[in-house]
Amino acid sequence: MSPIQVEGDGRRDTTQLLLEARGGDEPARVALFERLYGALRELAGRQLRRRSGGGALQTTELVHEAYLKLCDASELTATDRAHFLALSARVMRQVLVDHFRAGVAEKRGGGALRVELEEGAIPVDDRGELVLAVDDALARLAAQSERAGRVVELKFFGGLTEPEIAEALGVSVRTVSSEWRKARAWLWLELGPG
Amino acid sequence: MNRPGPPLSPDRWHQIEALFERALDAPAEQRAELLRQACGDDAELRAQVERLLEAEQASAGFLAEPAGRWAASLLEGLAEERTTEPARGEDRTGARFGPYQVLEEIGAGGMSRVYRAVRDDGVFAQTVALKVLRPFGAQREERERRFRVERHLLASLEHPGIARILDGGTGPGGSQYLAMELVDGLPLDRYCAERGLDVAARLRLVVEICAAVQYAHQRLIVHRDLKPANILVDASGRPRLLDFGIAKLLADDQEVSAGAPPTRTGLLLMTPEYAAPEQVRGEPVTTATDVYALGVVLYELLSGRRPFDLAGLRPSEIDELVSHRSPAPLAAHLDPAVMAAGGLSIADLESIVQKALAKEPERRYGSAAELAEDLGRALSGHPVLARPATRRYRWARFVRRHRWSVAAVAAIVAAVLAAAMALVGGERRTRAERNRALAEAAKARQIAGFLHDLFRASDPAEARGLEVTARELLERGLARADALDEDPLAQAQLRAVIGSVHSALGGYEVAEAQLRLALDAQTRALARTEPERLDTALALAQVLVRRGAHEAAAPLFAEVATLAASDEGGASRRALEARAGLASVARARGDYDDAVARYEQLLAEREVALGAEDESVAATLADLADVLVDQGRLDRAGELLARACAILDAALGADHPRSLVAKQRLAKSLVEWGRFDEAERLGSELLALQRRTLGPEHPEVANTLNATLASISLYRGDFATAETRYREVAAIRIAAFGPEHPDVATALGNVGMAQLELGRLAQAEATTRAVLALKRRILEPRHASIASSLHLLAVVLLRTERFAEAEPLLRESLSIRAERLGPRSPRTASSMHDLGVALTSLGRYGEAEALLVESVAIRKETVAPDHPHLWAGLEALAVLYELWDRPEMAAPLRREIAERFPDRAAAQGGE
Repeated sequence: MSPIQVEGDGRRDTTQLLLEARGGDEPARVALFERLYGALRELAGRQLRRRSGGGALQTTELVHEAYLKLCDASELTATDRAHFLALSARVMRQVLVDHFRAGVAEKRGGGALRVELEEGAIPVDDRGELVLAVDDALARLAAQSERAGRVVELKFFGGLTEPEIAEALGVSVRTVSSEWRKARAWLWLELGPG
Repeated sequence: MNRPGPPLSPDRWHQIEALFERALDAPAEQRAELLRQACGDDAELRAQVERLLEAEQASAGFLAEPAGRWAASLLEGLAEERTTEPARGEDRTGARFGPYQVLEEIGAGGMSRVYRAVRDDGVFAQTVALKVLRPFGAQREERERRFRVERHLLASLEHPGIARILDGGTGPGGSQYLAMELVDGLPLDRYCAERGLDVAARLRLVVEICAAVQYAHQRLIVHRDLKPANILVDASGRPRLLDFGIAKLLADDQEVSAGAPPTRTGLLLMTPEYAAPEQVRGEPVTTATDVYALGVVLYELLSGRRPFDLAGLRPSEIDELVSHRSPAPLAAHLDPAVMAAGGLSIADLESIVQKALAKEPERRYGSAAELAEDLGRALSGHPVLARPATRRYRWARFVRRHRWSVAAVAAIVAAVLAAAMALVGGERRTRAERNRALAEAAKARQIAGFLHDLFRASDPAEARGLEVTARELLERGLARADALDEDPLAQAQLRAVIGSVHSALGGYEVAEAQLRLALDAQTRALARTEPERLDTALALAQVLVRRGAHEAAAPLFAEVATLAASDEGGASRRALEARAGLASVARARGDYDDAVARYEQLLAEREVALGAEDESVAATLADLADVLVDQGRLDRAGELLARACAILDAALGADHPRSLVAKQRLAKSLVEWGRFDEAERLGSELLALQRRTLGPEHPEVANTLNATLASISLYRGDFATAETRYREVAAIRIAAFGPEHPDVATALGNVGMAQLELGRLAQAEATTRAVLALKRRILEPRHASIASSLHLLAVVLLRTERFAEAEPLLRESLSIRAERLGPRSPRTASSMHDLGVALTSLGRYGEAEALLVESVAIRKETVAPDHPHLWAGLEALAVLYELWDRPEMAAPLRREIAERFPDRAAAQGGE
């Protein structure tokens, strides 16, 4: 398996971007986002191929894999790592949303999927719509409660566990659990039948 | 009401949030009080928090799986159920759905969760299974309407084998739920495994399941998702079907929400491993779809695995597998011990499963009831409908019907024992290298295991009162041999034994296949001169001769003869047997002089080496006599055969198969000789014995019937009986060998002869032309048997006065017979006779006279003095002279006819 294509010294570069982004450098943040987007998409496609279609996308694994591939762990603290994972979850959300949108577009005769896939006609069921709807509702949820929105993003899109989320957000696991139940109930009402 | 409305002010949201969190932390029974106190008269706040709390409970498991999990399933069109374990999610314990309160979760699928719940509205106290379906989706009203209709339909199913649907409705958050009879039992597969059910018990369960499915089908309800997880068996052993029609309900749901006909929706909803091809392709589902799923369940219960392993496959690959590939044969997975314990035929079950799993719905069983009936037949040992009437099957059936006696089982075991002894016995000891001895010991152990299994199966206690047939023993042996991949030599040895036993039972096709496999393995692993390998080669060559493939047998015989002679000496058993084989090839080629020379040489050597009374001397005598009969040297043949019979009766007993074969040949020569009364007596006796010991459909029975009773009827002028008997012979042979076999051609040729004699000339001509064409396809061009058909066809032409057409046929037949049988054989005389008759009719009296005189002379030498052929010859000659206007030549012939055949009135010539 060939290494991920990253310009320059991939690890150092990404690590540097991460440090700069954490320091509040907006261009670094954008660059990091883009780099992560490409890497995660490629990793996702590779993961799907590796499982020869049998397995679902393991986002948790992807995010951790991206971290190991892109970052120089020796230069980063646990907080940096949590930060990276959180950012990866955001990127993963974008990858998935784009992916499901593409699926819908494909169904309507739109362009080919950019990510990963060999199959032509892709049946789109409610889940694709649901993912897009959650993405949409998440913006509204975040407006009311940023932390609840982050929890949903990390858990639902990033596939992180509650302890990982707690670490990324710097809160207790109990808080994460409580936020999740609240957010879930809210989304249920927001997206439920009717 | 579900929409939260315009965004709330941050303060309001924080208020709701905080109260919600507090209520969540409080015990459920204290929540109402807590909210009442906290909200005071703020009814809106209280409603919002209550709604959120209700949503929290209803949304248990909502978004529990990361979206990424869905990416692949979506992309690949697979149901998530296959790829992910049910999401853990928080439980719904305590949640209310209509009158039901959830007690605990008892199951989860891709589209629903199942809870144990109790009805506690004071009307009934009843524990039910509560199935809560996915609430999410559009077009709620339409979906609810359909749901109601289906629910009422399903509630009408009342059958002891179907878990009843009691109630249904819409619960918190709009989730649809169904309350069903709670079945306390184990999934079918687990039940079978945990109870250690034998095959028969498993089949009986499937029969019961079929009955329940049939009941629903009669009410036009298709299950659509039959699988062991949906079939629970309760403590009393009764299977109950869950979720009848639920899959349809869910599919409708999908259809409505997708707003378009489902493509792979059905597959998404069901477990692909049990999906019929039409389901995989998204085509309409019928009762036949359930029959397919029942076939999968049956396959799984019998073999412990599903027909196809679909794990990790893409939809296109699943489609390819399920729609176009055949599942691995059941036998490959079956445990022979389990099968034998049930006294069942693997092949029967194989056919049943295959019929249920047919790709095209219309080729499956017409109903679940039909499947159940066939399973019942398999259980009671009757022929199953699923078995196509192939010749191999028919052969198997006759062996099966013929319940093998202790003697037959003993014979098989003796054969196996002999093989095992050969492995460890003295012959090997001279080469006793240590490693080799160890290898032999390992092989002997394998064989001992095989023997042990055979004995176990024939133990009445093990077989549960069902007699184990030889066929089944062989099937078990075969399965055992197939499983011995790690020890190719032991495997080859077993195959050789099995092949030989099949050969002895007349199953030449299986025998050939097994012996070939054995020989290939032994050729790879052993020196060319290894006795085991030579024995296998010999056995294979002998089977090939019996199958009519003598040209393929010749090089094998030659190889064994050479190798055995160089390694063991020219007089060794193998060398002599191989040379006997070469003689039989010569005979099969129609090269009778060569065959006679070879047999005579062999006979002399065997008498010297083994003594005049040895069994193998008798065999050679009989073989030689056979050729002599073909050549018309009947008196010598009879003499040899009488000697052979005496030797065999003394050595083996009168009932032994080999004694019987010798008697058969004797009877045949008696018939040819015209000693019909003796031949008939011997033939009848022989047939009775063979039918009893070999079964009525054994090829040897056909041989005896053909050579004795049928031919005798023909010669005695009872042509109708002859035709019936020859047809019987042909039927047995076609069943045993298939239609393109020399023995079939011979039998059908005789049918044609009987038709001719019955005056059904058009029929006789058609039959004979077909037989001639068949023989020209499968035999050498100058084979004596072709001469017989040429002759017969010519006789038909003579009867229809097409003399000129007949002449070339008769000349070819005469030429072949003179060359192959000898110029003075009775059959050569027959060709001469009829050529003479043809030429007489064409007015070529001079040519005719020479032929007729010669043929009468030969007949006087070779057949009994009252043989009808002799009468016909004299008659033809007399007629010739009368036509030729030479009464002085005719008169003495007429006198001779009157003396020899006083009963015969004057008649036309021909045979």
